[in-house]
Parts: sequence; C-alpha cells; structure tokens
Amino acid sequence: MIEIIGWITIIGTPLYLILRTFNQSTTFINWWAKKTNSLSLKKKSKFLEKKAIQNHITSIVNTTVFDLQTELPAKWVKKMHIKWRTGGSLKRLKSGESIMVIQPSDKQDYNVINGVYFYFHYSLFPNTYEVVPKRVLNALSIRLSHRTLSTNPNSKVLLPQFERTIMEREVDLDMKILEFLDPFTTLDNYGFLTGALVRETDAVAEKNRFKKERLVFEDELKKILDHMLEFITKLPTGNIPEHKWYYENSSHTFEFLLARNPKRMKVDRYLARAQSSFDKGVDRLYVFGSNADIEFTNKLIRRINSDTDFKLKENFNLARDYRSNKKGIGTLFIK
Amino acid sequence: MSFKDKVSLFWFKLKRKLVLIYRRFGSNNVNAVHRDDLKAVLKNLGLFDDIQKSKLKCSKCNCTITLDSIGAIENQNGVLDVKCMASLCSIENKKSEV
Repeated sequence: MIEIIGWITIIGTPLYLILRTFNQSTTFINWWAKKTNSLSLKKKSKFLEKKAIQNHITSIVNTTVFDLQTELPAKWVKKMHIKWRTGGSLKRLKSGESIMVIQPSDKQDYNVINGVYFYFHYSLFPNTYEVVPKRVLNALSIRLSHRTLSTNPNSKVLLPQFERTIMEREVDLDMKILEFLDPFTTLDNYGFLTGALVRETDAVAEKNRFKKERLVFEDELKKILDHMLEFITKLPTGNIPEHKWYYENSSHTFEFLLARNPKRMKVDRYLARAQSSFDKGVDRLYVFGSNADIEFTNKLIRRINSDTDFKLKENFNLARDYRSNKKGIGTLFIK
Repeated sequence: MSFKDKVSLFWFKLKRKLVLIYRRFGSNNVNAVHRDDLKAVLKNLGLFDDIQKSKLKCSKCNCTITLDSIGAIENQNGVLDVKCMASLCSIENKKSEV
C-alpha cells in the first residue's frame, strides 16, 4: 500500500506540475481548444461538443485574462473555468451565483461574446460590487470585453457583433453609460484605466460603504475621471501644472509620479518629490513607467520603497504606458 | 551603482516578477448550462412553468423570456433573476418587432 502511494506521488507530482505549467501558456490553451474542436467535429458526441465549446470560450477569455491578471488588482480576475451544470446535479443555486446559458456549437460567436461579457461582469470589483455604481461596472465590463475581443484573430466578426448587440443594448437601456464608456477607452489607451481608475474606484467604494458620500459616488467618480482625462491631454505638451499631478476628495488624496529618464537623470530627484508628497499628506502615490524606462522605473520604485515613508501596496503591469506605447509598469504606494 | 545596490535591484525585480506570475494561478468557476440540459435545470429551479406561461421578464430590458431567449439565471439574495440573450434584445431586433 505504501509503495503504491509512493509511486503515485513520484509520478503524479511532476505530472501535476507539468500540467499546471502548460496551463499558464496561452499557446497551449489555444492549441488544446483547436484539438478538442476538431475531435468533436469528427466524432459526434455531446461530451466532446461541450468540451469544445468550453475550451473555445475559455481559450479566448483566458488569453486576455493572462495579461489582465497582472494589470488589475490582485485576485480580481482569475482564469475562467466553465463548470457544466445539468438538471440532476443542480439542487439549489447559491446566493450570488449565476448560470450562463450556452448555445450549441453552431452559435460559437454568440457563446464567445456573451461568455466574455458575462465573465467580466461577474469578476470585477469582487469586494465592492454592491457599492460601485452599476453604470460604472457595466461600462468597465464593456471596455474590457471590447479589448478582449479586439485581440482575437476573429475580431473582424466578433467585434461588430459585440457592438451591435451587447454594447448597443447597454447604451439603449442607459444612455448615460456613454459618460463613462468613451472616457474609459481614452484612459485605457494610456494605461490609466486598469492602472489608476479601477484602484481608485475600489478604494473610494470601500471607504464610502457606510458614509453619506456613497449617495454621490457616481459624481465623485466623474470628477476623478475628468481629472485623469485632463492630465492625459496635457501629457504630450509636457507642461502639466503642479496642482494637476495631485487630486483630493473627501476620502483621500492621490498623486501621480511618471518615471522618465532623460539624459541619464538620477532617481534622487524623483525620490525627493515622493518624500515631499508624503510630507504633504498624499495618501496614495501612483508611479508609472513607460516601456522605454522600465529599468529606470524599477530602480525608482525600489528606492521609494526603501528610502521614503511610503509603503508599497501593489506592483502591476500595464497594457499601454502613459505615452500610449505597448507595455508599461506601475506601482501603488500608500501611506 | 554599487554591487550591493545591483543585488538589491535584481532581488527586487525578481520578487516583483514572481508575485505577478503567482497571480496567474488559480481559476474562477463559471456555471454554464448547455441548451440541451436547459429544461432539466429550469425544472430543478422551478422556473420552467413560468417560462412556458410567458410570465418571466428580463431584469435588464423587461422583454418576455422564452426558452429560446434565456441568457442567464442569477440568484440575488434568494430571488432568481433571469436575463435574456443580449442579441435578442438588440436594437435591430426591437425595431423589427415594431
């Protein structure tokens, strides 16, 4: 008996680790989705058809989620795993749980569009979704779904369908969603949506949960949004007034620090600025680094962490940096 | 940059990468029902008769839910909330209905 357990451990552990590692690769996920799809077409079995649908949706969602996991706050989005429910196994649906209806494999496009939107809608703001205005939650789900579908090889078919159906429905039901939807796209192109805005929304929601400010939360978010948009539009000019780097509301204050390394400038100047922000009473400091300055930004972040009174709350990646180039990095420091 | 600073920076970058990689482990379960199993699930949840009698409305757009248009079922604090398939609620379809 001990021998059997020993053999299972010896063979099983590396096998488990290999599978877990392969599962981190988007190439492997996509390859596996194609394999099950071709197999299900050859052998007409319901089990294989369900497996093919499942793999097709999850491969598209997880390819984007793979990057989003390092952009959004920790534990927000995990890889999607479809759990099939059948009549027999479903006794009661737990509170907060939902079931998505999946169409047969000839309607794969519909399944993908709905699956992507459904997934983001239920994954974002896991701790504050009751407080965050529904309009904001819907706009963010739409933006991230749009980004997911636009990176798909089949985006020419999927995107127009998504825009005509889900996006059009959300706009038709609530025209005011456009107040968020359009600015979210602009912010996302500069890394400020997943970098700063979602973290600010989450933090303010948590602080205002049982305060009267919750009644005007949406207006507060609009002010933050306007502040960030104004900041972005002034970025290319390089002429940002001092007070625009900083924002204050009833819950807290935050400031931006954009790491640039022109002519091998030393990090000390930025360090002094970070410390002066702390002394000024800034609660949250966002440090963003462009793709070209990743090495310099890492040096700066390490020094702020070790040499100032700020505490490192979270490191994250960005799909686009503050110059709108692909890939950047960011860090949030708190008091 | 001193050797100590170089080691410290290397360690900082490695730690940052490992923390971000660690986030990628784990998965979220999403409940799904295949169209072929839908009747059984609806019966189990006690919704089948209401749908047959066209009593159920979509909580988003207020359209009547049918077996063909049901998109998602959600339990909100003990109350079952049903949403239609987004595509069937699109403007184009609404216009064609008019």
